[in-house]
Amino acid sequence: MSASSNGNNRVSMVVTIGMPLALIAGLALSGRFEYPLSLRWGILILVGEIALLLTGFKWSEIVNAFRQAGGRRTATGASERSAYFWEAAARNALHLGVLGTLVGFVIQICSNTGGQAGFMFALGSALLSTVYGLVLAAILSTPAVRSLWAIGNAQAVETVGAIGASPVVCASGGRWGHALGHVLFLALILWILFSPAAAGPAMPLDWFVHWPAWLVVFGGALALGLMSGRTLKTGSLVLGFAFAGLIGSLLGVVQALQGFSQASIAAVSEGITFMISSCFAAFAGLLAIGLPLQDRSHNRRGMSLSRVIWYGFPIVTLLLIALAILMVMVPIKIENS
Amino acid sequence: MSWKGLSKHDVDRLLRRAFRDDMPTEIEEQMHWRLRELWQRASEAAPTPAHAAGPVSGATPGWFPLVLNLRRALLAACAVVMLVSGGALRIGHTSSFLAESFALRQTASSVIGRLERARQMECRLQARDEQGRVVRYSISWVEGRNSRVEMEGPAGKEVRFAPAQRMRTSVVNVPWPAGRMVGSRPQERWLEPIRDFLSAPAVAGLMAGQWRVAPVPGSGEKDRTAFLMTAPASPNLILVVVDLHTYLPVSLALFPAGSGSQLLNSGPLFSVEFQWDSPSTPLRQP
Repeated sequence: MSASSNGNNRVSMVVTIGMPLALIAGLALSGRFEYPLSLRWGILILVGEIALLLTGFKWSEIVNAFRQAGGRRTATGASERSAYFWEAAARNALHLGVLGTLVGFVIQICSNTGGQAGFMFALGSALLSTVYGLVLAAILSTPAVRSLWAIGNAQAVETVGAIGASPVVCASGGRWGHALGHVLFLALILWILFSPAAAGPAMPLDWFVHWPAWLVVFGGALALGLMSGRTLKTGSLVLGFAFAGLIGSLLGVVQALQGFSQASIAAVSEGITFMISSCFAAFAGLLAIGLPLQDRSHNRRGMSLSRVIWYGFPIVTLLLIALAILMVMVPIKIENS
Repeated sequence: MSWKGLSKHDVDRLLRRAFRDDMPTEIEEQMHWRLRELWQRASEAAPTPAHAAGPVSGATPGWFPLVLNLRRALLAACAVVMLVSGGALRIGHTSSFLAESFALRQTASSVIGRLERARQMECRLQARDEQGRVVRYSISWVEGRNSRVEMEGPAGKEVRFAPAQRMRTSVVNVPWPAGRMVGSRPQERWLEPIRDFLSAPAVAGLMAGQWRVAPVPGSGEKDRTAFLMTAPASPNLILVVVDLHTYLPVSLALFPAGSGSQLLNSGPLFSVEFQWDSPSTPLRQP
């Protein structure tokens, strides 16, 4: 390899590593908000990202993707996989960011602190998690775009087709990596569930693990997965979890709104609990089961619908959180009394 | 060299040997990747209806579709059981302490909202001065006017008027009764115990501050509920009793923070009783 090629690689590496760091530093320093940088959300997103990548990809695929992002040349098949890897990483960052906001909202509800002003301040801090997730997603999506660009160029000159030779079995492996990823993600979920709220009477566990919501979401996901495909190993479970989560959340919203109309605080709180728990169950199912299975699969049929779910579900969850905040803050009985 | 006598197999082998080095490594790698992907896709592809119906080729064992169908049937049964039990639990689920926690926040929020919209208020406040003597205050407030304060203590009875503005700092955040507001002028000393209660918006401001709301065990009645307000920096607890029909405070009492479980048995540092009917005493502006 020539000296100029080495130099180009170094520049590419510097750009790959340095630009995201500069972006993060710029965002941190230019913010006019009073919130400190939150270590909690940083840990959630970074550890979650590592765990999810390990559950969805083999170690060799991860190494290849990083090599390609660093400017090394790889085969077209590897390039496609690398592009998918970076897209999945960006998607994971977005999901983890919104999950953090959901967790922050519940922790604030559990703590019962702060009056109205303090409640809003804490919610702003929880929203930082989504901001972190979006920043990381933006950074991680750049290698994906670059890989797709490279694939487009390569395919323009490619003439190699499938040749009728004996199939090469994909080397097994990656099970240890997947297991490690699952253990990491489980530890992260347990940390979320058992993290103590600030001197509050309830723990996040009590809000997140609302058994009716979990049963409805997991049962619904399984049913939808079975209906949509003959195998659960592709994207059918992603579809199942997302739609079951949305259906469960909307059932909760309906109950809460009925509670508002009947001036019943118990019905409103039941509805919001069901909604929050459904969202959390759907996120847990998606991140722990649905998305890793889809990532491991090489079947890319129906990716358009999957992408709608990937980016649509976190946005809808954010809207539902905003609705829940509104329901918590708006007094129920004033107009009726 | 003659081609005669060579079988197709031999020709194929000869060609492979001859062109072995012609393929660039990069293309070879690409081919391998493509083939791996195709093989993986083929292995992940769903079985065709023919496969599901029964064994077609000798490679597929006869019991395989049965097992596959059995697994799908089991998964479908699991899904139905989960959905039905989830729905049943949801219908039969009674209010948990999460609902109570949420209800508490909603109640506090409702009370603050009601207080901010109130146009008149009357309350009676009882406290002890630095010598431990009982001092009684009677406050009347109507929106847009100064608050009328009637004081009754060891020095006798006195009526004064005070501007009904929302306070920036709360008197309940200082140790009571020894504590004094920093920077208060001597002529304003008489206002100190009551400055959070001079108007309904001032009471709302007190409740909307950096407080944590907690339930009071055994305080739930049919028409009334109670909750505790505590702040990390405050040495005191506030017990608020709320009328569940009007969502307006009925009474408010200040206790030292160390009261804990003995709260309801110990005497308050000071207490306020609210009346939300029309003021009994006619207001006279100075």
